[in-house]
Formats: sequence, C-alpha cells, structure tokens
Amino acid sequence: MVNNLKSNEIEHFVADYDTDNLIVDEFTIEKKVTGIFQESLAIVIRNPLFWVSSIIILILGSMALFPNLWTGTDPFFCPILDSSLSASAAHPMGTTLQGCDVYSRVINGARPSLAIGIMTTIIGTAVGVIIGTLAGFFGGILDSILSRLIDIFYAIPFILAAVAVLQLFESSESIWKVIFTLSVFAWVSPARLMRSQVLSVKQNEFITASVSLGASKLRNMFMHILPNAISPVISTATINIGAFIVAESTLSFLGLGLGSNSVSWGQDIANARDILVTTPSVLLWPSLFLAITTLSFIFLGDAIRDALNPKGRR
Amino acid sequence: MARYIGIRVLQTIPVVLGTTFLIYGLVFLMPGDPIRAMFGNHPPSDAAIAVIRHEFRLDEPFIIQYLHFLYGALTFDFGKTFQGREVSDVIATSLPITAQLSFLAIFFEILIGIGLGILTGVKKGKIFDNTVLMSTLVIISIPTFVLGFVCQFLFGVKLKVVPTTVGVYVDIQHMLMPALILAGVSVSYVIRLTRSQIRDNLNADYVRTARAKGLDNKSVILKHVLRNSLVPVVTYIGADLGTLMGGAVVTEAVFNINGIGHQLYSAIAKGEGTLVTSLVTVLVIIYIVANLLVDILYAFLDPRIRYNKN
Amino acid sequence: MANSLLEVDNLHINFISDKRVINAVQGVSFSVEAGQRVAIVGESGSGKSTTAHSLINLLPGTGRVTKGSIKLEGKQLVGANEKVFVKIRGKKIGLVPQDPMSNLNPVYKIGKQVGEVLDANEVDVDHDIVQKEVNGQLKILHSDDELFLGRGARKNIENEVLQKFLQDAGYNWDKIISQVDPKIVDKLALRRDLVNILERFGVSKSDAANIHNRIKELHVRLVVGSSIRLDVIKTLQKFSLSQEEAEDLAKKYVKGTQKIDRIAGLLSESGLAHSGQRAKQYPHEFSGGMRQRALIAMALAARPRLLIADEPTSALDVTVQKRILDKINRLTSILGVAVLFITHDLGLAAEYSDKIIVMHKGRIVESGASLEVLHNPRHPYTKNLMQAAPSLNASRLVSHSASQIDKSIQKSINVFEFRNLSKEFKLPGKKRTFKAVDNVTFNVPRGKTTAIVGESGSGKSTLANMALGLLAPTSGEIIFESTDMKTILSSKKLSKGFRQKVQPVFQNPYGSLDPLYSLGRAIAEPLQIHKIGDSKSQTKRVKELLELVQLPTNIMNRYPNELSGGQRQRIAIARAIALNSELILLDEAVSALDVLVQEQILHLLNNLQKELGLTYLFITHDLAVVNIVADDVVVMESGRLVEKGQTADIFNNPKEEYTRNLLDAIPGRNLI
Repeated sequence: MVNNLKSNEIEHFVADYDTDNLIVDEFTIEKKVTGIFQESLAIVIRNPLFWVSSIIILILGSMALFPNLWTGTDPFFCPILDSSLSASAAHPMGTTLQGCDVYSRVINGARPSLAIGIMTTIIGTAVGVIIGTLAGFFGGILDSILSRLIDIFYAIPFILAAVAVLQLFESSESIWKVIFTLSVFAWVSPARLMRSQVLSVKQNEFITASVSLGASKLRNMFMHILPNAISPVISTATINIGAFIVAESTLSFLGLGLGSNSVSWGQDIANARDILVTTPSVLLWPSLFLAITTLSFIFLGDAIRDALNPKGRR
Repeated sequence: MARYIGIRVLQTIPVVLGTTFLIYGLVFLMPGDPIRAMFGNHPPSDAAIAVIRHEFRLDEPFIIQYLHFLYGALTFDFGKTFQGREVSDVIATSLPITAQLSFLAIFFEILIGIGLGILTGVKKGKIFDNTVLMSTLVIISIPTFVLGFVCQFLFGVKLKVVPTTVGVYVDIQHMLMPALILAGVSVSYVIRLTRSQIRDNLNADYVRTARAKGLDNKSVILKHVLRNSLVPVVTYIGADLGTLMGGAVVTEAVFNINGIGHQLYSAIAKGEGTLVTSLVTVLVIIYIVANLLVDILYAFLDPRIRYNKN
Repeated sequence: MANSLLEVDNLHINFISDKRVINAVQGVSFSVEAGQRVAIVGESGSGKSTTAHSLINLLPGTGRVTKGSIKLEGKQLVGANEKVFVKIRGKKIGLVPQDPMSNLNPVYKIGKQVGEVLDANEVDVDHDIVQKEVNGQLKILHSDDELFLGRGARKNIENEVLQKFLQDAGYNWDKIISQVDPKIVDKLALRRDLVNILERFGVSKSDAANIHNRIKELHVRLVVGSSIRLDVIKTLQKFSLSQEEAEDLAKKYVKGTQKIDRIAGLLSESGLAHSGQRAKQYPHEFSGGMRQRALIAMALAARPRLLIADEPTSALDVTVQKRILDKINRLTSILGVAVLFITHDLGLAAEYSDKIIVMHKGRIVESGASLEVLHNPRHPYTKNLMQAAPSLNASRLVSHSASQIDKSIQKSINVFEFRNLSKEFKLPGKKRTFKAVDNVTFNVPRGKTTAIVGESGSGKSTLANMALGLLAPTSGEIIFESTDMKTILSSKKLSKGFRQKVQPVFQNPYGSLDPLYSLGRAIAEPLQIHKIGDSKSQTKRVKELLELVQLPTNIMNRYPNELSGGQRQRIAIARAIALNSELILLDEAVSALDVLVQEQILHLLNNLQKELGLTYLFITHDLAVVNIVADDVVVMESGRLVEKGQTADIFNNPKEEYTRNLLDAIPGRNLI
C-alpha cells in the first residue's frame, strides 16, 4: 500500500446540527395546481409563436368561412379589359391576365386550401391512428400484415402516388377529389408514428399494473394507451396541415388539382406562371398567403409539441 | 453481415410486389378507354380496336395483365408508348438526365445541409442559429415550383445570369439552379436533422467520457460528436435519392428539363396510363433500392444494427 | 507540510434552471492525499457527483463553480481555462463514470477507445527505441517501470524458460532443438502439442507434462502490455530462476510494447480475459461488467494521480459490483493512485475507502476515517443513514403475526404454490429455446413475506409475471389458494377474483403511474374497474387509503409529476391494497429509492402487513433488504432455484456457493 496515512491522522469532522433539515421525503403542496393539463396550458400560453400562429390561422379561417367579410368582389368576375392591372384602389393587389381581382381570388382561395389541408389531415390522422394503434396494441399477425401494408404505401413517394391516383378521376372541380387522393397516402406516417408510440407506452409499468387490476384490453387501450400515445401524433398532424396545402398547390401546378377554372392558391400560382415576367404580383400574393399559412401551422404544431412533451417530463 | 443483407433483400421483395401491384391496379381502374383516348377524335373501327386491345393484352383478366407487366418490368420491357416508341427506350434516354439532376441535388444537401447543420449545431451564436432555422422553415413552407418560378424570374429574367430553362441540350452549369431548387426542402431537413443530432450527441455520456479521457475539444467534436451525429444524416440523404427523383417531376416541369419527371408530366397530360405506370414503377423501384442500399450502409456505419438484426 | 494531492476549499456550485438558481454545492471543503482512498457518500441531490465533476470542469448544463478553490498538486483550478483541464483530464485525473451502457461510444471498437487515451495524453508506448541521441547526448528515454512486456518478447522468454526447465530436468536442449522442425522452433513453448513433441525427442511423459503445465502457468502470469520489468523478474523467480537469471532475461527482452499490446495489457489489468481479442470488439458485444472494466482501463491508461469513481457499480449486479470494486481497489493501490469514490451506499464507502465524507443537501455534514465514522457516527444525518442502510443494519423488521389473521375464515395455508414451474422463450431467429425459469418449486405462505433473490437473468421477473397471470408457464403448475391458475384464468369469474386478490408494485416509480391520471383517480381505478361503490364511497375509500400510506388526503386532485419517487411508490401501494388484496407482489419496489426513503417504505409495508394481514412476494436483487423484511428466501440463478429456506438459515448457514457469493457481495457486512 502506498497509502501512508494512518486513520487516526484523519480528523473526525462533524457539522452543526440542523435537525429541521433532516425530514425525509416531505410532501410540500405548492399553492397552484400543476397538473399535466394545466402545465401544458401554461407552457403554450407563454409561447409567443403560439399566439402569432393562432391569430393568423383565425384570420385565415374567417376568410375561408366568411369571404364576404373581406371582399365583395366576385373572384370569377374577370372583365378582359382589366387584364394585368397593377395595384390600385379598386384592385389592391392588381388583376390577373384574365382580368380577375387578385385580392378577391386570394381571399376566396383560402377556403379550398384550408379545407383540403385540414380535411386531409383529419382523415389521414384518424385512419393512421386506428391502424397504428391496432398494429401496435395487438401485435402478432395483425401487426405483421399492417406493417407490410404501411411499408408498401411508404415506399411510394407522395407526389408520385398522388399523380397515379388522380388520374383515376374525370376532371372535376370538387375538392373531395383532392382530399381523397391525398388521404389515400396521408395515413401512412401517422400510422407509423402511432404504432411506435403505442409500442413504447405499452412498456410502461402502469399498463402492467392496470392489467393486473383486472382492466380489460379495451379499457387499457382507450383509458391509458391512447391518451398517452397520441400527443406527438397531434403535433405532427398540425404541422402536416401546411404540408398538404403545399401538396395541393403542387398537384394544381401539375394540372391535376382542382382545375384551372376553380379558385385556390395553388391553382392561381400555377396560372400566374404565364405572366410572371410582366406582372410578378400575380404570383406573389397567393404564394405569400400560402407560405404564411403553412408557416403558421408549423409554428402551431411546434408550440403544441413543446407544450405536450416538455423535455424532462416523465 | 451477409445474413443481415440477405434478410433485408428478402424483405424488399414483398414491398416491390405490393407497390407495383398497387400502381398497376390504380391505372387499371382508370376510367375511360385508353385505346379510344389514344386516337382522340378519330376512333378506328371496333375490329381494329379489338386487335390493338389484344396486342396490349387489355382483353385479359387483371391479374394476368399484372403478371405480364411484372415480368416485363423485370426484363426491362415495358411495352410501347402510344406513339410506338419503346418505353424502355424513353426511360433509357431520360433517366440519366434525372439522375444527374438528383445527384447534383444530393451534392447540395451534403455541402449546404451538413455544413450549416454542423455550424448551427456546434456554435452557440443565437442570431445565426435562429436565422438559419427560420430560413429552413420558410423554404419548407413554400412550394418547390414557386421557388423555381421566383429564381427563374430573378436570375434568369432580371439578372440574366442563368438561362431560364434547360431544354434539350443538357449542360451541368444549367443544371445547378434546378438542382438547388430540387434540393431546397431536403437541404432544410438535413440542416435541422444534423443540428439536432449534434446537440443531442454533445450531451451524450460517452462524449463526456471522451473529454474526461483528456481529448481536446477538436478531437471530441470530430471523432465522437460528428462521427455519431452523421450516421442518421448520411442515411437520410441516401434515402432521399428516391424522393428527389420523384420530386424531379415538378422541377423538370418548371425548368423544362427532358428527364424522367418531364416524361411523366407529359404522359399524365396525355392520359397515357401504361407509360405513367411504367415510369412511376421505375421511380418507385429506384426509391426502394436506394432505401435498401442505405439500410446496408447504415449497418456498416453503426455496428449495433448488424448485431441486432443478426 | 507538503501539499495534498487535491485540496478543495469552500466550493460553491450553482445551476440555473427555469431562471431559478439552485445551489447544488454550498461551501464544501475536503482534501485527498496521494494514494488515499476517499469516499463521498450522499443521497440523490446531495451534490456528491456535482462536486466530483467540478474537479475536471465537466459540470453538466448550466452548472458553474461560483466560489471557492480547487487545488490539484498545489495548482489552482478554479478559473483555469479549458486547455489546463484538457491536460489534467486523463493524465492527472481519471474518471470511471456511472453507467457503463451509455459511456462508451457505440461505433468504435473498445481497443480504439482505450488507445485514444494514450494518444490524447501523449503516452508514448512504442518503446522500441529505448535510447535516443538528443543534442549529441545519449538519453535514456524510459525508466524501467514504463517498459512493458511485448508480445514477441513473451514468446522468447517462454522459450528460454523452456530450455532451462529441460536442462534442469537433465535433457540436452541443443539436441532436442536440432531435431525440431525449424519452422516451429520459434514458438515451441507456445505449442499445444508441446508434450507430444518433447516425448518424440526423448523426454519422458511425466517430465513433458510437468514442464508444459509450468510453461502454461508462466504464460498466464506474464501479461503482454502490462507486466513491467520488475514483475517479470519476480514472476521468473517464482519459476525457480535465480535472481541473476531472471534479471538477465528481463533486461534482454522487456524492452517495451507496441500500442496494440499496451491496450490489451491495460484491458487485462482491469480484469478482462482474452483482452487481445476483446479489444477488437464493439461495446455492444460486452456485458455491463465488461464495459465497466474497459472504462476502468481507459481511466487508468495514462496513469493518473487521482481516479474519480462516480457510482461505478450502481448499474451492475451485486456480485459483479464486488468484483469491479475489488479490481479498482487492488489496481489503484498497486499503481499508487488516489481514489475519490462517489457512492450512495455507506457500506460500500466504508469497505472501499480510508476516509468518508458524508454530504447532505450540498453540504458536508460529517467526515472522518471510514471505520471511525461507521462505528461512531456523530451527526444525526449520518446516524439516520447508518440506521437505514440495510447492509449495515441487521435489525429485522419483526413483521406479520400470523395469529392476527382471522382463522375463522377457511383459507389455504399457502397463497401460492409453484410446482415444477418452467418457462421457455424462443430465441429470435434461432430454433433453440431459452429457459428463463427452469423447474422451480416453492410455496408462498399466507401472512408472511417470501423473497425471491437473484441477479439479472435469474428468471425472477419471468416468475413474477407468471405469478401475476400475465405469462403462461411452459410446464408446471401455479396453484393459487388451492386452485390451478389455468382454471382461474379460463374462467371470467375466477380471474376477476384473482385480479382483486393479487396486486403488483413495480420498481420504477416514474413508470408505475399514468401521468395523465390524478392521484385520486389512479387509486380509485381498481374500484372503478371492479365497479365497487358509487363515486362518493370511492372518494371516501381513496381518502382512507391515502391515510393508510401516510399521505395527506388533499393531494387527490394532484398529478404524479408533483411527487417524489418514494411518494409515488406510496400511491402505487395504495392502489394495490384498494381492493383488500391478499398478496402484493413487490417487484424491486424499493430498489430505485434512496436509503432513507427506502427505509420509510419498508416500514410502511411492514405496518400494512400487520394491519391487513397481507402476504408479500418480494422480488429483489438486494440480499441486505431481504435480511430485514423476509421470512423465507428463494435464491435463483439462471432460471434455476439454487436454495430456499428461512431467512435466518440462509443468512447464517448458506449451503450453496452462489448464495455465499451473494452474501459476500453485501457491502460492509464484515465491518460491523
């Protein structure tokens, strides 16, 4: 031993007693209740991006629901004499090649764009959550089959898939055509996410405890697993609303969207190409609205994610 | 390792079968008569149609048609276009152009995506970090073709530094802007992924241990943080090759590049179902194969994968 | 007086969290002398790890030293820049971290990660050049104790020793060697068929076998990359070489190693067998104990003066824990390295250190010579710790009185009977099966505490899941209150009854409560599932249960995230007894808790058992806890039942080797 210190050379030090300090595992009740929901709410309220994005989305929502609040001009009233005008009092954003009022078209374009984004997300997420939960919860053969199905759909790039499906339709201006097409593939990522979430929540001991208490499978699934598994799916879904709005515009650009006679941001951007050189504002306004909408949903989704899953929470 | 690769290849087979079946089924369900569509306003006699129908095997049951299609796809024989050109010929001439565009885009993903990702991940500068992150979100939220239009307008029409369209004669210089536009969204994701990977790894236990061993900051970042952070990034970029080839439909349409995406675009416009199916199938198979290769690459980069899958 | 190796004076460390300042360490002063072993003991949140990490400037997150001084060999480290610390880390202070699973980089081979330490600290291991001309003067580069035995050198020494053995036994070496195939002469001593070869050339069978065995023994003792000249001399002397002969051989051959050999040597020093091959493997191919050995090799590779061992074994099995700590202890004392041992276990601290520092809430409450503190604790906190530490405290919680169980109700004597129970699992991708539980038979008597003890892989958790009816046995029977489990589970009515009577409490307090459920709702869940009472009576029952587990009743509307680990376990216990259960299966239920909290929970369980006549099936890896609470013990290893009996019998008179190993691994047991 190298140690040449004898133990009696080590001083025995004792600090002053402070017996109050020695209570073990004391329960201190803080005044305000900090349950999981209140905590999430408090986080979201403190987030400025949540407020900015919510307000923008509310404004956009009012355009979609009540376009007459914002404009009295008919988006289809396109006198050819007014072709490609620059901004003026009558046409605050100018006119298109056909002479339609850009402002009115942008306001009226909110409805189909938002409807497609939100409806696709709702349908895709609902289907995805069901399939993902079934696969993750029951496992076994059902999981194998559903997982292969997910693999197959996942292997086709989204735009290509939509292209292939949209050919099925006779040209029509119904937004349901687009919603259906996007939904056929929109369920895949939520299903994957939900499956992995369910698998990880299933590992928790409170699930085993609940089974041992005699809870039925269904009770477990609905009362414990689903509520705990779903929060990342919700935040991702919110972000995806923006992605579907972009996808709709891309399809319109490829000539597979709502058709050139309808009003939607995507369609108007696609139409603007021809007069881009002479009247760039025709491209600018619908693009700007579309980008702001998409960004707002991304920010809102981020805010929801941060609130539902703050780091370090168990 | 060999076993792992074998298993992965085997797992790919049902996916290829499933996707081709799906795509073929979709086109089979297409409304209208493709033969009549082929001749537009001057339909030939019913007898003639029957002959053509037989030639394209359209009179046989769906499953037989699919099997023929599958056999053809495996032997790179997709039949003929309505104009009588071999589909495989169309693919052979257009695919290299799209491949060139996609690889150029991947080059940008590596250069800009990983570069900015590392900078924002390692440095703590708040303004720089926020600017880059905000820019990535803006790029993600603008449709690719709008970005394409804007760049065409700015650099092609106003500044005249690049031609507005690429056209028939493909020149690598002319491909730079389209490739950058094509890569845009992916670059944004790569930046965000690289950054978050680096931030996570900087806090990893083994990085602290590496510091405790006496490694200086440079070695810790290069040997431990970057090496581990880049594994998922590299695999993301690899898998993105397939996505880019799909996304090329839009970029090629904007810049009038005669690649496979452009062929697909015009096939859609003409309602040429067989051609659409063939092209989409080729792209999907490239996508699946790229993913397969990436999985194998992943196993090389991360020894744990080999172990777990064996 | 000379400087201490390490002097810490009035150290303050702050963290900033949510804009609030947390004073993690408040005025800590201590010193570590060269070669001394010092332990810092404390519960979670005491600031013990924070103190240790501040020494090498590796505080996590927002942690900062705000005041005080840290002197290493007289040099001030507080306020020093990163460059100074880079030089100190590895070279002066080594760190063995807590969790071996996450502290090795998964993408690099073990050998490379050890080699990094040598490179980073510029440890020159390629000693092929022993002398070098510097400015026209011949300089000897390395002293004897930096020269390690190389791979080629060991072979040569062994051949020379072989020659000596043969000559000593009266054989003519030159004659033999002239007949041997020249290709193998070089490696003759290493050959497996040495006996045959020697026999062929006239050596008698007994001599040949004897010589071969001694050579094999020598081979094990000469460790490539680790044995220095002096070791080699001493070893050779043990093999009947004279001092002169031994010194000659050592001087001739021990000239230094290649890096790859040095890495292997470092790994074998830490107790890793076949270190040459092991160095070529990845971390995921190592068990937890092996990883920790690799980390020890790394921490000591550059021969630091001080080794910080930050709870190096808390993630490992008890028997592995003992081997690892013994290894650290022996290695550091051979190398003269001082140790700063961070632990929550007073018993371990006493066993493996000369001086103990007890920390509580960022302050030192007591310090002194280990045995002095252990035998004569003065501060009330230390006394509490002593009393709560199961390994140091043999006083049993006298539990349960079977007399209190209402005998008027006819009940089976045993709650559970396990008969020849086995469970096999299919190995993924292979055709073989793996026996998690192998032919286990024992009873769980009513009103008593039966403990199942075992390390990871012993099958105790599989057994628990079968007892809970969550997993069906491959063969054998489980009898619950005189009824076969198969019958119970196939009948809805019976299984409902079973689910009311048997309840689990799990290890991880953070995973056992649904974060979305208020505490009241969590406790009421069993009542709701079995539709017992209306909401008013359920609320009343929840209040009763909260009182039983000694929590305030006004926390019903709160959520688990407000509770500490111990409080969550109380809620889990309240939920388990809500249905007037007969048996509670405690699956490592107190393992994750600090000792003082653990003590409280054990007392609570003990009281509940008395009041409610509960039966406990206590599953744990911790024999010390078993000694305190269990009436009967079942020891399991690799799925098999090793030994069963009454606790006192098992502890005083273990019959099996494995049980003895487990008992020996209880820290501090021999010190009291």
